[in-house]
Amino acid sequence: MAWRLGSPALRRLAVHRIALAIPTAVLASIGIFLLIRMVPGGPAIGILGVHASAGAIATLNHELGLDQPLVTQYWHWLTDALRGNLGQSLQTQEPVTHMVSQSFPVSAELVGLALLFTVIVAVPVGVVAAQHADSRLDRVLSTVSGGGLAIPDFFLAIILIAIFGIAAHLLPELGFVPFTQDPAANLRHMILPALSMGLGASAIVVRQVRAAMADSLSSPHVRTARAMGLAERTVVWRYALRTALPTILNVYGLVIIGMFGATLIIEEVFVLPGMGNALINAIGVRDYTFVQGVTMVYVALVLVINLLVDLLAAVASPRQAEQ
Amino acid sequence: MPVTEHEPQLTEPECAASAGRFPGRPPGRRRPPTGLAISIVVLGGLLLAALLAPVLAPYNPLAQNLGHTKALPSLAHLLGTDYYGRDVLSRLIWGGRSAYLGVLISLAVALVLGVPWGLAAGYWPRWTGAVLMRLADTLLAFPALVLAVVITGVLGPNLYTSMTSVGVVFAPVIARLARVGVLEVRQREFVLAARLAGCSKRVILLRHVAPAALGPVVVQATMFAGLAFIIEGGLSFLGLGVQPPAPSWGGDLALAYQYILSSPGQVIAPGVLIAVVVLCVYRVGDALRARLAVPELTGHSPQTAGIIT
Repeated sequence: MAWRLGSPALRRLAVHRIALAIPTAVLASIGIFLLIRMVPGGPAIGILGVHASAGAIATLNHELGLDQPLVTQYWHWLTDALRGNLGQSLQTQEPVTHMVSQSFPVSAELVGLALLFTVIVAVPVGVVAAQHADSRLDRVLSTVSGGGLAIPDFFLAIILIAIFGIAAHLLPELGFVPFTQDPAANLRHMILPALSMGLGASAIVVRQVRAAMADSLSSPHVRTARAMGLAERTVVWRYALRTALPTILNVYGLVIIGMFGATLIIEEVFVLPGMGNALINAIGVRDYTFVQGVTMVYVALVLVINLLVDLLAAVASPRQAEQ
Repeated sequence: MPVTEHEPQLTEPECAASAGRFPGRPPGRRRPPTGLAISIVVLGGLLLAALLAPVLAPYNPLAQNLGHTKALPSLAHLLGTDYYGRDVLSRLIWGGRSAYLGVLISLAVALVLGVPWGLAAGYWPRWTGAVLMRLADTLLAFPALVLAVVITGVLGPNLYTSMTSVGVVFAPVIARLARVGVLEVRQREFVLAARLAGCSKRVILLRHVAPAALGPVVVQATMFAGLAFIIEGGLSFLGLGVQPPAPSWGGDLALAYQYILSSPGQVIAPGVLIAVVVLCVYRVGDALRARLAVPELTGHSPQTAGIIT
């Protein structure tokens, strides 16, 4: 069966995965919807405070549509969301989708750069560690990556700020410049945040790539390739890596999702106007419409990432996809 | 498998007594135990210090001394004083209480929810299992930190709500592991033997299947403990955990970060402390993994999801 891009088999897999993702998305949306309504005393008291008059609460509940039955509320919210309307922010009165479209690119750029760092640095290191499994180099790398797992990303961010920003004056420690305004300045502001996330993620990627590659280097087809006299470089980077690719892709799926979670803290540390920072702010000012909308955006993001990972893994390894 | 009346039936205590002796597993490659011993001593010592905080802490962690702020380490203040002139060492000792308590809360919630969830899903794999795993998938469709932050935001920010929500976020991973363990174990001979002996389903699940299936869960729970120390620090750093002026490692780090331009050294103590604790917990987890012969993580295993926030 052909698993090239656009082939019927791949399309079938895509349809199957999307069909599985839809109930998950619906359940998640119901979960978020109910969660927001679990605010002690209801969102209106959360917004107005416990000393608000009953009249003010009733008015606000009416404005927010919270006086309608739950099912009606959910239906309105769902149908609006499917039309691309996530409601209006309680704080700024702006459409939530507009705020998301402004803040999402910042988070995406941050995650993209961090990811690029792990691909350039961590994947080769993991491959080399697997090639020299149980050597001294391997043990050193394992110790270093183990230490990397233990350092909280927000502390790493602070260390990087202290070293490169404050002590060496090499890079700006905080703030953001839009890419469209000044690409060079934008990148200079993004280096430290991306490094804060990329270094921690590298610790995970190195270990996982090492495990996957060690597995694949000891498999029969690699032995055959070696026996046929292929150059070791070809064996490792073309044959063995290809077998390990689905595993590595799966790890990357989890790493990317984890990075979007990490933006909540990293964007706060570096004062970047991304989606994570916006969510933390919205929680602080009890902007429940925004919290509800953005959380749903995160869920959609995770489901899309998982779908892409599944499809790419199928393209990379048709045999595993069959099973 | 139906049990006929001719077969000898074990009483419930006999069934229970025969449990727990599932086939031994080969020991993994042993690492020198020095690191492990040091890790256990560090974790135990910090726990003891936190418990004995009223006796051990040299100063009141909330007592401000505005004439003596941001002091460097000295004999009077071994780790110096913070922005409000409070003794940093005393605050870290007291902060250990919320760190350990927070981790305990999150682990308790994760295990109390996740283990029965996974055992049930594995033991009744058809309808119950399908529904339960669909629920787990749904919770895993949120980035872990996003879900923890939103739940905390809704319930109100403090140590208890934040670490309970972290436990809720961990639970589906524990459930998946427990389920996989049960699915692997329930077909093994000793479970079959227990069924033939006429043990009740409850006894089989709790006394025969659960102990053999839960090795990966124990290892994962240890790894989650390390992660929970990081997240407790992170949520307090964001102002969603322990509320200042109460001492907490993450909160103190956040305060030190605010004044990093004037006194950069202040961030070292709380930050290094969190990293050291997490390192020690992971070392213990690695030792457990080797002892229980739980395989290393790979991209396909649900364990990986737990390591990444």
